[in-house]
Amino acid sequence: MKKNLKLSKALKEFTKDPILIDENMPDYSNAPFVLRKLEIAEKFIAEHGLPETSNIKLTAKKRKKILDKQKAKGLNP
Amino acid sequence: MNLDQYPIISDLSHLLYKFESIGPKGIIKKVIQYTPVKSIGKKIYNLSFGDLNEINGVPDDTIDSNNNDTKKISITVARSALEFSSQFPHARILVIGSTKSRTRLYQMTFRKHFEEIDKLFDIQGYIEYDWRKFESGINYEAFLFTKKLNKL
Repeated sequence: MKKNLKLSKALKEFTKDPILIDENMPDYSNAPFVLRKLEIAEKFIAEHGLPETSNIKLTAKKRKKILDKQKAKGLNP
Repeated sequence: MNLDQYPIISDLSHLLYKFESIGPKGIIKKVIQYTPVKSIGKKIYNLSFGDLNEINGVPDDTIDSNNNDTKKISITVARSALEFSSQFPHARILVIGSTKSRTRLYQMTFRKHFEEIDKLFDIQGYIEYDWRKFESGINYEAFLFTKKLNKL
């Protein structure tokens, strides 16, 4: 409860400054970097799909396997 | 909790945001664009983030501007995500780095602020051929943010 109040206060503080609107901002939706990122996203989704709405955690066994593999690669030492 | 951020300006669509990073390398204009992934409709928006090239006016995500303000920038991008989500409450945000090191940088940022992010968004990470709930300590290939509807 105390933690939630603290977070709520922090969120209020976080969003206290309004986001201003610029009606004349250039359109970057077709900028090369946006299209490149979109292509990466499209390809990624086509290859790997999207998650179901459920929020399933890794099993302890799979988590250990992944961590061991990443450790062997020098990640997460 | 220090949530210092840069002032953000949005366009009318609330899909495009800009701000200025201020540091030892001067003022660097930044652009954040949320783009719907057309192949699956308007449910998933891809996040693109980059520096605005002052010479040609085109944003680019391959520049490592390194203006000593990574934390402030991360918090500013998070603020844009919060604003985007309040405008598009049913949209999910896909984040994939353009390089492995950039994905890792995102990962470290999410890990650092996980407690705060987790109250507002469900984060899923892609690992080993599957999407799973984000956990600290695992290196993911991509991230998907879904707003917790009752929180904003």
